[in-house]
Amino acid sequence: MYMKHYPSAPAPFFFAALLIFGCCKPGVLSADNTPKGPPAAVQTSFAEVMSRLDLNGHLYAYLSTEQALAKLDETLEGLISMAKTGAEAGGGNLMDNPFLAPIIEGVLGVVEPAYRQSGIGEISGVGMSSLAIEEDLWRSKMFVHHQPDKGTGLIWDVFGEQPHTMDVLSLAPDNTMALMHSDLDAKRVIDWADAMLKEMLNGESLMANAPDEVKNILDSFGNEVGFLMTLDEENKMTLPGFMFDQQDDIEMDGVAFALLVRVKDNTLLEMINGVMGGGLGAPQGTKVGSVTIHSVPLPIPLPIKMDLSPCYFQVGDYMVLSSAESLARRMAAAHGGKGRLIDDAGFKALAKGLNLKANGIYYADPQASEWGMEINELSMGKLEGALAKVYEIYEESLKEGIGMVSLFKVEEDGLLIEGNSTVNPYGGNIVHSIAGVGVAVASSLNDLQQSGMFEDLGGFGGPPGFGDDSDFDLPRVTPPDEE
Amino acid sequence: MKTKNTILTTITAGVFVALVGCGDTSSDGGSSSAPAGPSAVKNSFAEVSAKLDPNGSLYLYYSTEDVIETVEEYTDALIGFAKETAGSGAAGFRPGPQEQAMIDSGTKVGKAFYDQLGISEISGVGMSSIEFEKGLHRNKTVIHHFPDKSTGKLWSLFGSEPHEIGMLKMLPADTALALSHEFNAKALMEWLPELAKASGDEAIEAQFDQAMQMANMMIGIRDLTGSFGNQVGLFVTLDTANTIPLPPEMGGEIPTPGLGLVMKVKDDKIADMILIALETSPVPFEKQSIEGIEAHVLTEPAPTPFPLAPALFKLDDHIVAASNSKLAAKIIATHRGDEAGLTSTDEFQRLAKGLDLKGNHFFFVGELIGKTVAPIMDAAMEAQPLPPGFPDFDLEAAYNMQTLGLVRVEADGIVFENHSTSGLVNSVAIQAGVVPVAVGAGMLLPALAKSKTEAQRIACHAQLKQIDGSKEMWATQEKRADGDTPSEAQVGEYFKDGMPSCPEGGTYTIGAVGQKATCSTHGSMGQE
Repeated sequence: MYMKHYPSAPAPFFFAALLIFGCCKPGVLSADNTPKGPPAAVQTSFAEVMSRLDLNGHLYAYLSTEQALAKLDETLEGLISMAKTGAEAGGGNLMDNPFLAPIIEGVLGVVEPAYRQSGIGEISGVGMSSLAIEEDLWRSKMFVHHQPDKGTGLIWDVFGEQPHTMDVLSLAPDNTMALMHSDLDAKRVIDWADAMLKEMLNGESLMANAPDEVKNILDSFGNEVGFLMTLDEENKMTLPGFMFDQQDDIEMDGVAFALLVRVKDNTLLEMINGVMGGGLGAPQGTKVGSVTIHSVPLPIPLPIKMDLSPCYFQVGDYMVLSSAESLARRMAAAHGGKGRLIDDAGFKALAKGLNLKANGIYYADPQASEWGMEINELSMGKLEGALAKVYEIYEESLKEGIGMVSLFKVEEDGLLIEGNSTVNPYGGNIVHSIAGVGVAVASSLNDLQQSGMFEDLGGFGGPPGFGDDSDFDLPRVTPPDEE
Repeated sequence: MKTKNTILTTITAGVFVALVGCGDTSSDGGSSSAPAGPSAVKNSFAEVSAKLDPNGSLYLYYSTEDVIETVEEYTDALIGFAKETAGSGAAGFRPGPQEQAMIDSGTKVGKAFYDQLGISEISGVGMSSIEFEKGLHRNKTVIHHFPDKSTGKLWSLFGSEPHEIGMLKMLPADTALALSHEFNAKALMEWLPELAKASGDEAIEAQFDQAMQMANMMIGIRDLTGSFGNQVGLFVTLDTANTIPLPPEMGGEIPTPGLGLVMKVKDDKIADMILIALETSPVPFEKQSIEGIEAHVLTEPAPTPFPLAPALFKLDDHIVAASNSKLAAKIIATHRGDEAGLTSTDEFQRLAKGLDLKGNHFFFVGELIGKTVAPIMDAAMEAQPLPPGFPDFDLEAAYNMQTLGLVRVEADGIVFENHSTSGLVNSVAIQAGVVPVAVGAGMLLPALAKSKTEAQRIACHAQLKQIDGSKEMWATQEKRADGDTPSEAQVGEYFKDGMPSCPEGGTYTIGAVGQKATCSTHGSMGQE
């Protein structure tokens, strides 16, 4: 009997050995992805967090937040207690004041549960990493962890439940310059907000009294919302030169926008049709493949030359409001498999190595930052002197454009944000961003100075009457009444 | 047959695992992205992380090269902007040619200082904090540079390589606080002329040379820096067996403090200079033998609440100053090994567990500090209590923080390592939040104590005035004359709650009609 079983014994061992040793590819979410060292006497979420991040990069960080959040919790309780027992200037208790007491109670009734139900207090640790996977391609990650038994807060499920295929990528045309799209559990947010408001409104629920239309919209909402922007080099827009102190009009790539909402049915489309048709049924639409595009007439003509032809349509599971019919056509074509962002070589190169299953996505084409820079330069005007030198450095950093694909993933034990970008987001780029803001502020102050608005207060150029120089050597403008 | 079955089972299992278990989840089922390998851009992750502890509450590596380079680029442009703005008079004043030259020289010196300091050679920084034993944290901070980028003064001014901390052998067992630092004074003296030269202004260079010559002539600064052994230290002992009382308004007592100063020397030049200074000073010092070592001791103790009669002596290659002869004797006995020192205490050994005691800088804060400071802080808090529910700033943890730390200057950077009862994050929080509260409370304490005493005196005098008034009323009602004295009960009739008592515990003497009532603590009205 004994011998009978003996020969088959190696099979399960082999099976187990394969599972244990043979299946883990290097670096795949295993404990091997973290630095080795003796364990801590007090357990932290270090291993759980760091196993999601990339070793060897320019940034690799972990912070256990449990102690700090416990302290915050204690502080919050202390402050609430202080508010409830605090004395007025006259000596009486704040809660005895018939005017202040309801305000304090209302605010505390909202603040405390809002914090408790938000899930912030459940964060056990956060981690970040940034690694150059190629010379000009950086993988950055951020993971916010909660212990498996603590994940009931709003932040853990309001932006989705688990990563899924980003269907919106099949709608985005290949000239998409920026895309922001995310899961959003609107009902969860509204229920949470309603519970908070109930506290302030003495138990009265706003949602309970909401009109049926609101409930129908919420029932129809597919828990995804997004925005995209395209640049069309074949469809230029012309901006009047006077807007930027220039003689000639300025020609730039045409810009178009679209708002996207995932829907479960056509309730939203029918509602909009009803409104647009003035009760006479849906307005006439243009058929592009399987998609019907409905135009929204403009009340007044635009003073600038650009493709602004608002329209709305439902494509697949998405209800879209677009600023231009040309964009709507491109989206309809993308839905049919032509000219999709996801097939674009530039996008593919940027998204290299990323699993595009996610709950949210942010995409910026390198061209978008170049276009933004162009607008920036026009609006800031000509800078002179050393400030121009600062601006030159900033400009140089954006010369080749910054591209980025960032994905937001709701996982069982936390939230993961991972993405690729053409620059290290945590390196010198931080300094460039700060400098960019600085230059913009300095430039705005310059413009204010030039406008003469602050002449009566002495302007920004020192005490009144001191010389004739303004900041940055720019000419002083005399207000009209002094002329 | 059995063998055949086994082979078949094994192959089937293998194929099953290969197909199901080993599938690349990142491409279909799961959401994780492809694993990343080494960095395509060089950094010092491996070098820095090798010095850190994983698994704790804090772990950080940050490559700084790119950031520093970018900051420098903007700084140069901003310096140009600042100079341009100052030159244009837009800042509110217009510098003259001399002032402009000074601004230029200052900018050049500042730039040279920064360039030569070695900040731009920092490749990355790291930090870690782990509670390696219940209640005991190991905190580390690393500032790294590649070995081929080590010309910065930062890498040599504060020591060159870790060594034994000489002062450790002298610390008595009741040491509560100790610091030892390394500083290459000679290297600094050689660097300063370089900085003056960087100003590009011959006048500044000449002025600096002149100042150096003067210092050399007066105190032989070059000889002194050459004689200095690059290490200085300070320590505080707290003698629990002998206590001193705190001021009466605070009450209580604290262990008697002692203070020691230590300086490492290469030869006798500094010691000789100090001796000459002592011999010519009007302060009465005399030669005494302490534990067989010749010492110079102040013969007239200073009028301080704790014994202060400094003793100065040389111990091996160290000059030591102790606040009194008793402490000097302890230091010498500890150094000789006749008396158990700090390193033999349970507290030190617990803190030093697993810590390499070789370093360039050393610091120790013992439990005694907290035990001594806590009652003082509690008195401060009692005098001015915080509102109910006021957030607890973990004052107790701050008082009782015990730390043993070292700073090591290594071939590829500087490592700060300490073992402490507080983690790095908590330490920062304590320093940012608790220490200011504690210092603030400490500064307020005397004022609070004084104001409390003053308030009690005013309240007492107000009561004495009321007692005098009551006596007058009693005399009128009872038809009594000056010289008659009412009883406490009779005076108490005129008060809602009976005869009042002094808020500070003094005894009242009612006195006769026509005389002032007095308090044993606060005297009578009109008396301060």
